[in-house]
Amino acid sequence: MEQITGDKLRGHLETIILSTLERGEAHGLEVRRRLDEAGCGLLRLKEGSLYPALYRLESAGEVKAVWEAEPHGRRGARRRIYALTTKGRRKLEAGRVEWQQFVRVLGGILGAPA
Amino acid sequence: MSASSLTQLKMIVERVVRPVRATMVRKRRMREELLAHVSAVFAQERAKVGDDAAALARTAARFGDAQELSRDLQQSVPWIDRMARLAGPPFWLRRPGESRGRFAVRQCLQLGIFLSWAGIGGSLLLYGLLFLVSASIRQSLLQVRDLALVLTGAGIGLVALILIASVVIFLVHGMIHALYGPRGRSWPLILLLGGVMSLINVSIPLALFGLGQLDARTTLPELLATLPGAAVGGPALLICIASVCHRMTDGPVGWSWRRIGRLYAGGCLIVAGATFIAVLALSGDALLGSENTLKILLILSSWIIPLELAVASPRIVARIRADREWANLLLD
Repeated sequence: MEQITGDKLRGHLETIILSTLERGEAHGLEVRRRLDEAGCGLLRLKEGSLYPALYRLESAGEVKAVWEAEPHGRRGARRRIYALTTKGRRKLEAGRVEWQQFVRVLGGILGAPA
Repeated sequence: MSASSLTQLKMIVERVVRPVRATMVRKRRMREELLAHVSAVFAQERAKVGDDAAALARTAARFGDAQELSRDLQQSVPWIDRMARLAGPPFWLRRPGESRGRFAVRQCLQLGIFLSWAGIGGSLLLYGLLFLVSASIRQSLLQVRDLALVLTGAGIGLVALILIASVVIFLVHGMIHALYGPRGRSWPLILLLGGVMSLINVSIPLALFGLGQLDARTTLPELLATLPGAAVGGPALLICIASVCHRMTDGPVGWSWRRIGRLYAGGCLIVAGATFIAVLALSGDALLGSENTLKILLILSSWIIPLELAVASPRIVARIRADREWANLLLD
């Protein structure tokens, strides 16, 4: 199957991240690992692009973040652990409904109903 | 991980974070988090390919295009953070290859912007409060015809403040160079800069007195009695600020409290002795001499004690040094 790259994911990245965090709190690399696992290795996302999306979600109050207690790595760079908030859960539900509608409408137009 | 690989990883992060217009606090958070990410990716890739150079190249490729990521990060910065950056205090870290003079000019500009924001914001706040109080007591506290005069006065005051602050910045940089320059301590330069600081400190109250801007009850002998303290206190404060700036960034990590206490007590003794003798010689009044000596010691302590407390905090020093390390990374 053809890989799904960043351009095709644009606009859906925040909902995708929220859905990975529904499985439990995670740091950036873990979010990426969960995405990889859920996308069967077909999602090709530049890893740095996760962070702007996470910061936007944090500013919007849809995720909350805390620094991990123990530094990660030799020189003490710490990771931040992200968790879904109630507002984020609501946004995820809305995102799912929107996606189903999108697929239904486009599926109808393309002659490939979901 | 080798030190060289860590530097390369920091460069990957810094290429993305440096162009972002945000406050230092936000950028510090971005740097640490992204460094933790690329370090983990590097460890994964190193385990796969077994070679640092190849692992670094794969880490950079996985991380993404620096320009694109900078753009995305910029869009994630809330507007309030961008505003706070403009209104924030001057950035105290020298850029790689930046001369001390150029650094001082940049700091002056940033300080000017900061003071302008703070001055305009403060004036608006004060005016708003006066307006609210006037409305509540149904009596005008500020006549509209006086407003232009008040604003002109505030503008002149702001410009004067920016000018004085800029001169002090240049003097502090000069004093750092004189005390800790590459060619060792330069006593002539220390004396010259101390003298200039003394002159400024003495001229300001004299100029304000001449313009009638001091308390109307202040007499000339009383004013003259304050001058020795101003003349001695200025250079003492300048040396203290230069010493703290040096210890924050380049000097030994920390001084013992005993050493700080000894220097503080010695400095106070010199300032107090010089002030008391000079006031006594000028006015012949021992009580006035003691009063002015005490005043200048209180003013100096209110600056020196917080500065020393800041430099004695390993957390603050470590943070400033880490910022400096990031700022000094040379990116191609």
